[in-house]
Amino acid sequence: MLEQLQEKKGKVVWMASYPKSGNTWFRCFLAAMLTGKVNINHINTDGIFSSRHVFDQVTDVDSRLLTEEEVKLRMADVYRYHLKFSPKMEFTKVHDAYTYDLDGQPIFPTDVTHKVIYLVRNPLDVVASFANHNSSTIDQTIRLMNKPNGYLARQKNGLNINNQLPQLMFDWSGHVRSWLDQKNVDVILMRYEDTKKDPVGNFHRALSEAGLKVTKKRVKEAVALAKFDRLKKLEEEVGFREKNIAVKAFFRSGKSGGYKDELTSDQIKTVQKNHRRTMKRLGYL
Amino acid sequence: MKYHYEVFGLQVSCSFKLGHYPPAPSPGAPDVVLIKKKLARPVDGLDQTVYKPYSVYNQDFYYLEISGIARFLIQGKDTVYLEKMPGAKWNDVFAFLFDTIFTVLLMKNEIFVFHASAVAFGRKALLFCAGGGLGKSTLAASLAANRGARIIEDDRCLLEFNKRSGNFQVRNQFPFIELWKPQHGFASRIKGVDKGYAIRTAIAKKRFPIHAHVPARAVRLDKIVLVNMNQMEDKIEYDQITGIEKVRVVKNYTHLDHMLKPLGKSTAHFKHISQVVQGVEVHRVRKSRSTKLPKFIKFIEDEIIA
Repeated sequence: MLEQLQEKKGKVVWMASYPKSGNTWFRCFLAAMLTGKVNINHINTDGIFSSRHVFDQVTDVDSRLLTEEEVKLRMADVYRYHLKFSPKMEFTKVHDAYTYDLDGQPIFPTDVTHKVIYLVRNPLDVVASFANHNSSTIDQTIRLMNKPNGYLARQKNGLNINNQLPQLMFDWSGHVRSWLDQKNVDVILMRYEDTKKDPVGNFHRALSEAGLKVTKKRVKEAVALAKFDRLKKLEEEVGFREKNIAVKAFFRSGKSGGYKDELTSDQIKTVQKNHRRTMKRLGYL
Repeated sequence: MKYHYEVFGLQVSCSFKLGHYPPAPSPGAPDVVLIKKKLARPVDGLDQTVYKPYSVYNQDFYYLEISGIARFLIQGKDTVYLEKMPGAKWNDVFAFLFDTIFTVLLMKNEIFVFHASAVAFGRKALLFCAGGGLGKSTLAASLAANRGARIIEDDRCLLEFNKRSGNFQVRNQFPFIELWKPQHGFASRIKGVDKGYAIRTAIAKKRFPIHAHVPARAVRLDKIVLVNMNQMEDKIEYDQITGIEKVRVVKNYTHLDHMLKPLGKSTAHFKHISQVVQGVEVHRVRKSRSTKLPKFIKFIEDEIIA
């Protein structure tokens, strides 16, 4: 697969998702495809779009001195430049919604985008997982997922020192729509629930639609290396650097439908009411 | 030139005021002149030149454009041209002038800027090296507010070699402490710190003049403390680094280190760091995001300062 990625160098596949929707699983699978192993603390995919380090290195400017809009105006140029020096096509994780800068241009450069793999998961399962990840309550998380201007890594009181730039995500429905409704770049949609049922078939489909020829046998081997139980065991043994310090584990249950044991019927109804249209669109209602 | 300043140890002359920056008390011959001039991005196709989206540079010049704010051109080691964009505020121009432009200018003069705060305990200075967001300024401000230390620098730091004593030393060369909004309260608790002003419009960080606070003389560098983050739950890890490893680790705390090679300064930088670490202890501390500041300071006091 590496040779095929080298042939497509200069391009990027954005692995976009709302948090807790299977992005890390997909990255582990890709690492297994590329290297034949998974080290959860060194997943060999190509970083996150909101990396402050990449931005500062390309612009020569301390991004803490820039406003959020000034950063957005530069993001597309930053990645165009960054990709020129990558020896292969990159797979870069994204939690931002698909948004535009003040000049009306997408913050994701269309000309260097090969594909988008959009990973989506039933918001009822996202709630419980995201609440654990943020060390917050189910109700707080339901409210966060319904905030039209929901952010990730945005600090309070104007503080802006996180190693990730603030990421505007909208609410859960807004995030989904922003990626699926834009017409600039091709999107490969992956539902977490489908991948859970048939990981080999769905991971193989995603790579094939991204123009990569891989055998099902190879995919099957990588799926085995990136199996949820194995990742969970690795975290228990060596820890996981992407885990929030305040919570016990990043890899929790990974189940589909686990919300039934974790959300009350009122909480379920609230999420369904907040996101009815988008949930219907994705077959979750 | 009408105005004279000392910025990061360089005598700077210019025909315009540098905002709130205090004038040099006894200006000497200028090391650097700042000149207003209309600028354009250098042409494409120059040899051995790095072309980035907002900057172009080689061993002779460095050009930087901050859209809507300013364009800068450093020519040689001693001349900075700048063009303020229509509608931009001078404070915004100075924010980038004091950061990227002066760092590159110093690098061209083979003076290297550390990502570090420095505090003095009596006649000994401690350098806290850390990346952005790890609490360098807060640590320095807290040691000054609560433990009687004197801040020498809070974010960017230069080290000078004192030939007479044979030691490296630190003196204040940028007379401000810069604090984010949640830390503004420290400023009022530190003796000799003046009222602050916003670094830039819409950025919640203030610059507080500290020229009345800092030690009047240079202070001998005693220890370098590298502050990193770990993923442990509220656990502080500590070790002391020795031998050649000191050079390898400490050199990573140089501001804009990705520009050393294209500017032809890698060898000079390596030599500088090797000399700096020769006579000092280098300690490495890893703290968790959940480690509270008082606990961290107590650890620093017990394990390193003591």
